[in-house]
Amino acid sequence: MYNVLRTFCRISFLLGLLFIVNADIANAQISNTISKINFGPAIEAEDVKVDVELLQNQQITSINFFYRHSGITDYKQVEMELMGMNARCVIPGEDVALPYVEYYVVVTTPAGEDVYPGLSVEPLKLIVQAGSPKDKEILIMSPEKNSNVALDEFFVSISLLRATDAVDKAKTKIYIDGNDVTSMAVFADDIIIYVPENFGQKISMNGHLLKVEIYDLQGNLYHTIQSSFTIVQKEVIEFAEGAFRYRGEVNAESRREDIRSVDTWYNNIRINADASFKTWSFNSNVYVTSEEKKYLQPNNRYYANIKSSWLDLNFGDHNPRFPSLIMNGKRVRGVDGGIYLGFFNLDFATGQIARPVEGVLDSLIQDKTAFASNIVDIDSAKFGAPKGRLANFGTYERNLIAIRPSFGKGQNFQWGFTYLHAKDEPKSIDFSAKPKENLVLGTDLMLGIDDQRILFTAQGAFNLINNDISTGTFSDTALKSFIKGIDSTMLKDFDDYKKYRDMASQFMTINQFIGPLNPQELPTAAADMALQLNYFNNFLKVSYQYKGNEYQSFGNSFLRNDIAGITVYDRLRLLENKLFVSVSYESLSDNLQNTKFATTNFNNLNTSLSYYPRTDLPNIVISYGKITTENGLNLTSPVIVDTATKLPDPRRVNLIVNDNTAKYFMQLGYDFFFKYKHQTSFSVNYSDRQDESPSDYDVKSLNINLGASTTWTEKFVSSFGLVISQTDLKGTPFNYTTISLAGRYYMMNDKLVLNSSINPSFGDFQRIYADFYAQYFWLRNLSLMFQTRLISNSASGTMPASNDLIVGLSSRYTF
Amino acid sequence: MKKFIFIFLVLTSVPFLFGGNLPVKDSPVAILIRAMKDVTFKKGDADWAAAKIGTTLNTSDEVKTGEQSIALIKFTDNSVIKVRENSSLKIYADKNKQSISKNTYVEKGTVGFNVSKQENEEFKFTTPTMVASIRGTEGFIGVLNDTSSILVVTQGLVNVLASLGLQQAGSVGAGQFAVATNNGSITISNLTVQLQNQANNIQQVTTRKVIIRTNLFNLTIEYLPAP
Repeated sequence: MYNVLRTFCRISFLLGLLFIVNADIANAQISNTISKINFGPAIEAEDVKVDVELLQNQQITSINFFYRHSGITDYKQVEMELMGMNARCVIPGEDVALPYVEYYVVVTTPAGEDVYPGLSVEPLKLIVQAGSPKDKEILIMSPEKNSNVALDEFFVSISLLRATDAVDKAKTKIYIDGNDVTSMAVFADDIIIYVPENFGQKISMNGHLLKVEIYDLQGNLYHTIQSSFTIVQKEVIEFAEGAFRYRGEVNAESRREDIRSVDTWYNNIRINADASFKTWSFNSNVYVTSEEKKYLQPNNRYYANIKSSWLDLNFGDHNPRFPSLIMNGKRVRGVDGGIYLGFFNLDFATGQIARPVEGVLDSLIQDKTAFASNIVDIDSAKFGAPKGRLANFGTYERNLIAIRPSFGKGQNFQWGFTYLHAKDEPKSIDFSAKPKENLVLGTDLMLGIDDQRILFTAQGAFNLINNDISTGTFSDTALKSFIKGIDSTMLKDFDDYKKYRDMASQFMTINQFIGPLNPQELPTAAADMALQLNYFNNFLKVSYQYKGNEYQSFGNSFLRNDIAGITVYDRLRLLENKLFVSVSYESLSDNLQNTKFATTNFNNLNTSLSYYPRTDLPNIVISYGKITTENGLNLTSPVIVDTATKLPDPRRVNLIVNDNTAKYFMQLGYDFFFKYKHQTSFSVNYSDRQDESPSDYDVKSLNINLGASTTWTEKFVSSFGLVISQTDLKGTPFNYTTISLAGRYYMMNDKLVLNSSINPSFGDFQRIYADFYAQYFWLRNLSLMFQTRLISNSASGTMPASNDLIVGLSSRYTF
Repeated sequence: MKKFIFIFLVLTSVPFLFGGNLPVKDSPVAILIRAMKDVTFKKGDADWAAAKIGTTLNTSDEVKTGEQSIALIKFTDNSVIKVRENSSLKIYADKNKQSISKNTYVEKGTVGFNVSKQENEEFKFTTPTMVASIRGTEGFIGVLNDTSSILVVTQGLVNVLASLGLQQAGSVGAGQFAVATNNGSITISNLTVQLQNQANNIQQVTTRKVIIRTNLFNLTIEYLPAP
């Protein structure tokens, strides 16, 4: 029965489709800037590398990656590092949870934002795999995974101590580089030993792959694990373990892009170097590009790090991590790091988070009373006029300092206190307005019990913001005038107010633009707390968040404020981590300080069922979600009705929010061997938004992804992908189909790698883009790559048809 | 006299303390993954023999190191102990289904440990004057010339109990060390720089080799680099 099912699955997958090559092709959506997104292995609780391949990078000012796992509603944001035709970032392991991580990418250009996979399309899903519990049943005692082993100390030792009673230990097989060496191994109950020397065998001085297969009592393959190791001279190990080690990489690229008849030449070079000495490690990264422009924020990157078990120092461009309410994902050019002594730790960061970019002056204005949104005060002594009309506002230099002392190692307890101060430098540019200042104070607590199976975390923060520090702190006269304006009887305590001003101005610019104005309503306070329990294969997390409507930290520009509510997330592991059932529910509300016409309630239910059989059967993920957003307003609400006409005011009907979105998702993934090795996948993503408000902006979206990758020989891999997208935007259809065909071929003893793909799109979106690249390895550590990309765009709306061409040459050297 | 009675009791009773599941004598519980210079082992009543890489160790087996010698022993649960020079120890282990509880009796010398957290398993070190239960910790344990014992913890938390006299108990955290004396007292203090360096050196097991090549023969001298 099992074999029949397995055969059925194989044949149906092969005949029914030539399935998903890999996640990349499945994710091939339409975009003017993004070609595809590649991910490293997505394993639960482990960091995932994200690599966005760009179609072209003309005019891109920033790329931000948004992601969330099914337990939360808010997307987290990380600014990607733009490196030539790629942009990279990492999803931290703490955010990689079963069954998937949803994501989308926003590319910002001067013309606006390009959202991938599209504003009306459901965010994409990265399926997260659970680690197999069977991995723990085979312990490789020697050689250790990814280790260097001296030739005269090499032997293989496997422990089956953890193997269950279902395993027949005597049937275990050991392979080195695919060669079965089981017959030369000694079986001693839980331990299996293979010493090549005893059989006159020799192992070569290079990298090797050890594979261990264990079988059940019926002789069926129960589990397989693999481990790499390298045989080296003992002197190499001595050198590696005791002395200075280093490695490095240099990448250089020159590329010409002809996009819509605009020719641009790009040149960039990237140098990475790592080194270590005993318990110290050093890391550096320099990226210099011709895209570095004075009128943009930096595109060059300079970074150096020195690290030990108790010290971590970063110099240059880095994203320091503090409690998320205060600082997370923000690039700082300066110095950051920490000292970690266990009972006491100190994190700090200081540097520039925005460099000065001068505004563009349109004209000088002599009339001191002139007023318009783009008219600002300027230095009359310097420019001969008191005011100027700006074509573009500049960006002030913004510097930041953050300090977080904490107590406790963080295994069972840690209590931290954070201070952050960020300030614009008003004199850093001539043409702009309203330089700002921000001060945030916060505390965070972590309590873990029973190896963190019970974990309580909490953080709170409060901020002050000054929205215009151009005039500096109040002078005595200005302070008196300000107090008088509030209540002239307060002037009797004027000396006290002066004292308070002098005291407070040591930390912050004190003038009439400082907030919050209503501190008793906690508009600039934020807090969250979470309790998680991890027992009986069930993970439960209950959390609460509160973010006042004016809460703001310059260390984290991506926080969603004016929101409060609870989130409950529960995930049950069944059948030895093969079956996962998860449910999450979130109930949030805004309008915390009654600053809006009505309170909007956001309710979000997500359920999913994931099955990873770890045999020759497909993986399955099925999920259903329902999002309800409403604010209780309708056409008869007093807020909407015009008091004069007694009819709904057309200018206010768009305040009504009432929509329900149902989301359905299914994905099958199947890797199997049928004549050749195939990796396949199939997914369907359907969402239906019913907008019950007068706007009636109903959206239906269906995305079907198919793909297959086949390894025909060791030298040749081909892939096929198909994307069918059907979207109905308020009755207007937008349908397209994309086919992807790709191949990779190794020749000249693997010295030359050829790779090409063609991706035509039909329907309401018409485009063909084709890729070709060839990489030639002159030496083992030196390669040269030629890349060309042709994009043929059909006319669309006001955009004429165009043929774009990108040609590039790059080289890579490692040492 | 009291001390010798205690040692006798420890040596004779440890196998029985492991209770209901008497270990299978023929079932190896550990393996020697590195043996430098003078490392010998003893199985039951057999004579001491030179140990080499891949030697399996059963419960009750003994291991001894000589001058400038090191032995690395890996248990079947992948936990490792590093036996430094001039040390002597006896291994006790009790396998129960898929778990193994270990007790290493350190008679003399110094043994480094690096043990990851394990459920339902214990890893104990016993010396003439101390019993230490470790779980997810790194450090070393040593027996001094007067048989008092020192325990240094660089990571994690270790519960210690003095075996003799006062039988004081305590918990030793990361960055601390404990000394158990012959009168059963335990003193816990913060690590000194010297002890911290010693702990680092004990975890370091890389040896150096000097090869003198002549026309007739090659002389290889393997040695531990000076800390």
